[in-house]
Amino acid sequence: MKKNLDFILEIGTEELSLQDMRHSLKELPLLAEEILTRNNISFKKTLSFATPRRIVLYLKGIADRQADNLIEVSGPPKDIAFDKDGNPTEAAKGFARSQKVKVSQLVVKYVGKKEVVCAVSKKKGKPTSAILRRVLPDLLRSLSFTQPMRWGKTRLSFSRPIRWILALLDEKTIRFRVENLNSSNLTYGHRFLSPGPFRVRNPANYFDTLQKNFVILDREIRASLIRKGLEEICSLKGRKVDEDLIREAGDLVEYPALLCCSIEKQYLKILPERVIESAVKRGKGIPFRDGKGNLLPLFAIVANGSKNKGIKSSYEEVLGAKLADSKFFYQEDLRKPFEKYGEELKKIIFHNQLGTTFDRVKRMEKLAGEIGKDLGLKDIANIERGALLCKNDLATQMVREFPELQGFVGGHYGLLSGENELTSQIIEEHYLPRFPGDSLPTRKEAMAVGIADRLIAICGYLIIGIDLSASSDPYGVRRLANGLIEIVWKKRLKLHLPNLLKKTVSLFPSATESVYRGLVDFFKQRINLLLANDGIPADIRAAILIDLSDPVQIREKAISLKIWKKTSSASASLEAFSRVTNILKQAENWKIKLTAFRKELLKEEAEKKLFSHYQNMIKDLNELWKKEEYQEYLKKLEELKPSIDSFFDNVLVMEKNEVFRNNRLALLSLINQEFSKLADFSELEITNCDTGLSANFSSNIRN
Amino acid sequence: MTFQEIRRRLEDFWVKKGCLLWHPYGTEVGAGTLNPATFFKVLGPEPWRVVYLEPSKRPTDGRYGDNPLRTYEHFQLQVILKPSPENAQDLYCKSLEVLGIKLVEHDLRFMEDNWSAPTLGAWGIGWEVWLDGLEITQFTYLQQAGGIDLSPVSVELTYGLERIATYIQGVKNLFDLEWTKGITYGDLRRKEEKEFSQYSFKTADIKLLLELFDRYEAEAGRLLKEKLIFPAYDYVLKCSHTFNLLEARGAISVSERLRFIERVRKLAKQCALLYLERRGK
Repeated sequence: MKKNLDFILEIGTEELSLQDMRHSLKELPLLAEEILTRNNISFKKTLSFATPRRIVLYLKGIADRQADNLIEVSGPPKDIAFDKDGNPTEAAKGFARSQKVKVSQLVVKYVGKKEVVCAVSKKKGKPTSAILRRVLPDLLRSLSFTQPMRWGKTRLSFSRPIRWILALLDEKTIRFRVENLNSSNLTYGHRFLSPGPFRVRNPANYFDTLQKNFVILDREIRASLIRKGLEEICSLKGRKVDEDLIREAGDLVEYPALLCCSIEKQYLKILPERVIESAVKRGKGIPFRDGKGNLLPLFAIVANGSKNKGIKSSYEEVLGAKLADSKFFYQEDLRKPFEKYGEELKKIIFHNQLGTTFDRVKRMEKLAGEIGKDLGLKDIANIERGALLCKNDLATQMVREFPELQGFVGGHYGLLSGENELTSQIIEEHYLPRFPGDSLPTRKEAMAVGIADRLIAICGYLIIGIDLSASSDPYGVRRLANGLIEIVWKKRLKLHLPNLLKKTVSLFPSATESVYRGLVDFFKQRINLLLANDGIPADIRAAILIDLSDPVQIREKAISLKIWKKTSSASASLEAFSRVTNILKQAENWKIKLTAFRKELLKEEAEKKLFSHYQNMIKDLNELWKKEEYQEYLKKLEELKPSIDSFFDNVLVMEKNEVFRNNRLALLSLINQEFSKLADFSELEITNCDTGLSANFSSNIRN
Repeated sequence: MTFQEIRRRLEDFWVKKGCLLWHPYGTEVGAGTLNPATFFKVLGPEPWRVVYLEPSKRPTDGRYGDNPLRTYEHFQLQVILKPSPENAQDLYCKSLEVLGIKLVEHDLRFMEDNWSAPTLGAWGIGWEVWLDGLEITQFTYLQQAGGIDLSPVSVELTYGLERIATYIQGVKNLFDLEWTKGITYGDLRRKEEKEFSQYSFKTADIKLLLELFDRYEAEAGRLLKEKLIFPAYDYVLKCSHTFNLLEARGAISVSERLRFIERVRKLAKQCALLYLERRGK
């Protein structure tokens, strides 16, 4: 009788790295499913749990044995195994013996075109417990971690040292060994509140045991306990709290104990809220803001188990000391005007070839001004001022203490030193976006400085020979480029990218032409990749990435082409367009020189029709182009299809009379100009909807 | 409990756990790890257990004796357990109990924090130990020293004695710590702090220090050629401290910094390799 069982594997560890713990939660069930499937063991459900001190796999409804396997071995051909009368020969008997089956159990089957004798035997599945004993050590070893470590004398590596392994299949302990670790049916409770060890009878008893001994296994429950605690203990009902902070706090404890701590009010009066918030987070506290966005004078600590009073006051004191330090930095920093910190930048040598950080901001000042002009902004003086001052805060004590506050500190100090609001905003916002999905600058002036900052940095890295195509990105160059493109795309900034790159290169006296080419290639590659991430197919990307001059236009063309290609008429239209492109390429191959088009040379009805059709729509086309309505533009072009088809069906383009021939080619070339504005259609793949076959446009041309 | 009592109790605890009671090193170091009793002893297969105090000098941390928690010099209590025992965390927790800390009533946390000392080519995986939010110890499974993979792995416990003492004595400023009855930490050390801060930030002769760095480096290299590992290592330590002084003095640029670190690391690595090669000879 087959039975379904439950299985628990608990890997008990020292405090795991947060990232590894979260990763294992996903990876462990996947690896387990893969192993079970490979071993023919059925199961209903795989679940995983984790705390800082354990990673747990829970398999529900796992079969008690492997599925049976039918094994078929082919033997001698039928005419050798059996004589004319159908009696088994010595060959058949020998084969049956070797396969440990009776002669009567041999069957005849076709193998290819030949009939051969086969021995079929049933291999009975092994008990699941035996399989688990064998595969669990490998399962443990195959988990992956960001930075695996070793400990003691063991050769095993893991996220953090493994201290115990519990493995229970229903009531049965699955005993196995990994290096010097033996599995057992023992688990441990909370490190201090109820350490254990505890003997566990079965999976149900396992969950029970942990709960009784101050371990809340399910991170969802830990998070919801914290949420509830915030409402009740900190009286924050209905108030929004950063969910990531709740998650993190819950992932750092086995038994959340919420403490509501207070912030000394004097600091709220003196220090900027962002500084206080950073200090609270540094101590793993959760800060709160009221409905208006003002910081409240309290923060929550999620302790691991104990709620003793002394804990709360200690966390408050630790924060107090940090804030006292910050206050000292703040007051020291403000003793000199913000612009004076530029002097400090002169001392920060960035690189021999690139000079100091001050040299860098001087370049940014020039480039940001140029970008501002390109964007049609008026207040160029402010942009330049913002660029010049935007790195000054790197020299302040506050940013040295809280690097995550760079930008904010500069903006704040700037304002206090009498810089105007726009300059201060530029300083604060020019770092945005710091990561994908981060907010963007609100002011175009800040965008100009942000773009200049990134271009100067990327160009610098290229000059000192950093390989931008390398697989890793230790200098974050790709992140810089992606941020730049994100700003340009989302804020629809009209910038001529190649010109911009040229201007950037010109700010570095040592830069050569190859640096410029490297920059162009790099940006082309980044745009290509970001479009791919947006789901733009490769053929469309190849068709539009010829001209980099307007990145916003590139993206819109790509999206329009993608949508258009999905319409029912697209492939037929594309074929019609191809006939135009095709014959022009042929003419080019034949070295026919195109002449200017002359209307009076048209004689056939179909060519007159094509021209008048084209002439009638050219105004609309131009207008749609100007309005950048590329989808409408494509639809309009499609209207030409019947005229193009009829032209090719009724008119011989390559006729002997060169005057007529050249005039017809000139007509087609006029039309082709309208296509090529949008994309190089020869790169687009035609998807034939009827047959599902796809043909490459460019191969049509060659034919 | 006085500052000196805390130190004695921790030393006693670890001596009872089989540690040799060692002493601070005789030249300036930034951390207990630099003491040869750690740097060399964690190399190779021989077991080793040691506890010692290490006055650690970090010029950039100088605050003229004005900051309640940061100083030019602080006292580390360093413990090495090689190979790292299975119950390393439990032993550590018990050591806090001898200081009268009942862990059931506190929030003791092992917070992810991997440690590295680039000048020594040493790094490890581990935690900052937080006692009710206060960092009191660095707990590290050392993975490499001198750029060499360690096997077996040692565990290194570095107690920040001032931090623990402020917690136990309930004072906010470490200069108010009672070193022994009637004498405070400040009585003994404030003047020294002020002078060393002034020296590190303002008075140190940059030209001389740069010259010294070069000469120390050359001497370490020469001694390595003579296979005099320990004297060579002393000059590596001198390089390291001189570099720290230059940094506090603001005499080193961002890109130069990496080159200085690389120069010291290279020497430290040679010392480690030579030590391994001549171990047991």
